[in-house]
Amino acid sequence: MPPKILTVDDSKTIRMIVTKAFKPYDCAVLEAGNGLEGYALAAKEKPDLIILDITMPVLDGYGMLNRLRADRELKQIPVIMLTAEVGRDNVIKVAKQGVRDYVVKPFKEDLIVERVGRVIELKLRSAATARARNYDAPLKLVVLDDKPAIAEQIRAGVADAGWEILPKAVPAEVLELCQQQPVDAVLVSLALPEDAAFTTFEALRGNPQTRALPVFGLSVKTAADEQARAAHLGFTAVINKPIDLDDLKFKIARALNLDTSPKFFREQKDALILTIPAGFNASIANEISCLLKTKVAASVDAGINKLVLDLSQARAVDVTLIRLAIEAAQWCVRLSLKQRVVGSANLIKDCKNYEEAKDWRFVASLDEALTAADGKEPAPAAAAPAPAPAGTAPVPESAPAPAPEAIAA
Amino acid sequence: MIDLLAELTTVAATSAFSTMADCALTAQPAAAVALNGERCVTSSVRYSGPVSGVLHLHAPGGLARQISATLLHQSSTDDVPDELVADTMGEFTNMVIAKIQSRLTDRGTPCVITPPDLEWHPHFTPRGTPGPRCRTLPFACKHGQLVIELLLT
Repeated sequence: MPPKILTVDDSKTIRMIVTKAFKPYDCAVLEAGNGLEGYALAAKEKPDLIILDITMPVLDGYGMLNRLRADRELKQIPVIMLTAEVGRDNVIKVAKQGVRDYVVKPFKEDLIVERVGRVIELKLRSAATARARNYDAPLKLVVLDDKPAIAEQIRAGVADAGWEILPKAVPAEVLELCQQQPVDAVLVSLALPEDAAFTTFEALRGNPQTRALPVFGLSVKTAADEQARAAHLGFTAVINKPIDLDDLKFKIARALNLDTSPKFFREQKDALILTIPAGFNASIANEISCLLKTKVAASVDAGINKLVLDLSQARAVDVTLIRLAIEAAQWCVRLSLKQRVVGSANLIKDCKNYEEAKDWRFVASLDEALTAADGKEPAPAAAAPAPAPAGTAPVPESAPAPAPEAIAA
Repeated sequence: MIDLLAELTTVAATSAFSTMADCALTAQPAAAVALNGERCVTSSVRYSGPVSGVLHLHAPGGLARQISATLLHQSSTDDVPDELVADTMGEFTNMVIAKIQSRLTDRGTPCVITPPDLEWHPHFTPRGTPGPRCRTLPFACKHGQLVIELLLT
């Protein structure tokens, strides 16, 4: 649920300014014209934060603050004073009441947003609504790198998703572009001369319009110092060069809350089909793993009773794939789903090389998996797997013992 | 005292209009008051304590509406009703008087201030007569002129 901010000020102008300041963010702003109204609204709505003026008719800011602090249910609500009164006594008086901050009028809108953002998490509406967007939604990604080949590589790598790449070589062009049109993320080479990556990052974070924009650092694996600096400053993530494009897409999708599940999951008849793509790797395994629980649980709620793990596109079986299959099997056991595995003769042969997979049984086609009678085709066992290789997601804890029908023959 | 308060008023008004409405004010001599017959909004705030008085902010309707529209990011001044224009001027008055209140308090002469009284008049009407207990402070900006009167009672 988006956070609620209550602004209490006798000036409608100030309330409007505050409301407009938070319009780009996924939050609700409630208004009250004096302390009495403010207290009543706080009791009713339980806001996540209150922005409070001091001089007001009926009940002033001090009075409202006193009432809030005396109220067991409301005393924890953080309060930021927004007032023209700057006298030392005033500040001391409200400081004793435990206010979080004190913003003095006149003020810039950015300032109040920044101070509120220190207390509660503010997300841009665009990011918050992105949850409903699909993976192939038209995204605009700015790439700031003095090597045009990098932008070209990324352009080619994200072409399947239909994302637009806007290459830039100069930081000022990035800032200008972000002001002129909505962009979804910025990728910046950390090795740009004159600290340009970091000054660009700070400029983006210093502007309310771009404050919540995901910013990814591009860095060669060995440049540990710049990566640590980027992490410290709050870059969304660092992408190592040479770029693993699947990893890049996954990180962007995650930062923008894109629904990537259609890439791997679909429902057909009474089954949820999980298709392992031809280019399966650790990044994709991680991505699927992050989606697995939610998708399987939602499918169960929707009346699905079977998970089909479709390996027909997979080129080979390796430990990463085995771990994912076992994780899927564990969720099936937990949620009482049947499981089928589709795969080729080559994969069956590969499975013989692994203790965990040597007894798996496959069906030859998706049709067969969808129509097969229950209990005849054992699936990957939900046994405890070997330690996770780097880059794979952890197996869910407390997995129950495998159900008899899920144990390999 | 009145000169100190007038100086504070000038600094506070310049800062408030510049910060909030991107409106640069230039202080003018008292004789420069040139508000014509245009309809005018007056916002008045009283301060009471060992030092008491009133601060009036007079702004012609067109200028006040323009400033309000800028402050509220309205594309047209037509979108700003009288009530909101007056409220905006009241808030500026509040910001200016708060600086005076703060300075008086720091000097050991605390005072209380009232919420602003807001009135529309058919034309600019001075409330005081310039003298030892009254200062008239005109300010020019790109949209016109506004006037602050500072009175000691």
